Amino acid sequence: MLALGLLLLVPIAMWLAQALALRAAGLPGHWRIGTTDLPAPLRRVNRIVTKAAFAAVLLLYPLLRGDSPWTYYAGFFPWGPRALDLLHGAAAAILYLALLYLAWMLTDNVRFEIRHDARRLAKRLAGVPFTALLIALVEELLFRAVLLANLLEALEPRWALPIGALVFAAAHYVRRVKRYWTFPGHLALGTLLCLAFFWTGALWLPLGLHAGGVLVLMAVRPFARYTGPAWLVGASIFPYAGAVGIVALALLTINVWLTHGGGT
Amino acid sequence: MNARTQSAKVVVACDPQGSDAALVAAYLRDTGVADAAWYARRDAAELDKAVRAGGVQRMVFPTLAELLLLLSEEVLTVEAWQASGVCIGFARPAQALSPTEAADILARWQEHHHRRRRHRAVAGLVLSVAALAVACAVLLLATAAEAGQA
Repeated sequence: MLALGLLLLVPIAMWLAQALALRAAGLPGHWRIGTTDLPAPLRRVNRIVTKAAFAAVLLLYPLLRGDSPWTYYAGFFPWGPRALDLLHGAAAAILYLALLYLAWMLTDNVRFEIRHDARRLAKRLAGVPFTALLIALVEELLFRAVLLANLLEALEPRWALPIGALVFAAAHYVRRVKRYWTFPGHLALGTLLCLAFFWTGALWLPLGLHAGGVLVLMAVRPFARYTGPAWLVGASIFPYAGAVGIVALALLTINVWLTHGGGT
Repeated sequence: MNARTQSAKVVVACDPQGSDAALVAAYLRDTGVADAAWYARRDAAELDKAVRAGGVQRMVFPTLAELLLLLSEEVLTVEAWQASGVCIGFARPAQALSPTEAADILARWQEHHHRRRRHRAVAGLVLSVAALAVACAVLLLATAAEAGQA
């Protein structure tokens, strides 16, 4: 439970940073993390503290176990043919999302239009592959290599897997967010990624699935305008949060089970 | 007239530099409006957000055609405005078009829009199911091919 304890320290660090920043700005304190009252420079400081807290967890966890961080994390990336799971995962996620967007576009539930000037668009798109990989890598290291691996050492899979998925989903709502109904979508996504890790014992597949998904969402974001109902198309950057998206995640989980979970 | 003050109770859907600006400004003057927030067509989503945020009492469009154009773009949530009691006015009412007729056109348009949205959602659901079936089948075939090779 060391990992869970360390991860729980992250929101505490975030709240403390926010409280100090609010105090520095002469503003009243807030219980919820993610206040919009803060001036932009102090919000930047808050974001840096959050990232530093995640980095501290990633470094501290292996060190507290007596491993070097490099050796610990490298163990989840076995070299050889299994590395191809990264591409398989990314291709599967891209296939599902691309076909769903096509269906929604053809039925006018999502509209694609150029909403930014060419220069700004090129700048935004150029960073997408790197950002997608970085986001997926950090989240997979935190929630699978640290949290789920530790939970699996202490608990039976039937407990460790739901807890791992639940913490992953809940982590997306620690800060104040625009909408909370997207939680089941995050839970379904967490379940898929936790099972992919559990079945393969490595990070290649969950990393591929995660990065492929983030890649499509980020690449589509500057062009897409969601006009369909939320139950169908989800919302904004969460198309997997609608009913159709959750069914897609369930089907993808079955696909992954058939390929990697002993279903064949 | 360009000020986009948070406190403005009247919101104008018109480009302050556009060809209809003078017409709308005259209308505002005639109706005794001193403070209004102006939004060009490209900022329609921002305009809608401002109205939904509350505090706005009146929306002014240069013409009914402009409102219908923005409605067809589906960036405005007129029902939400009406629920919060926002009045809609036009700087240049169409000839022989009374305010009740304009309201009737709007109501009919909304009815049509609802029907269309329902049809689109059903079509979207059907095509989504097809898309999911194709994606799942492609991956199943890939798995079977891989198992066959092994």
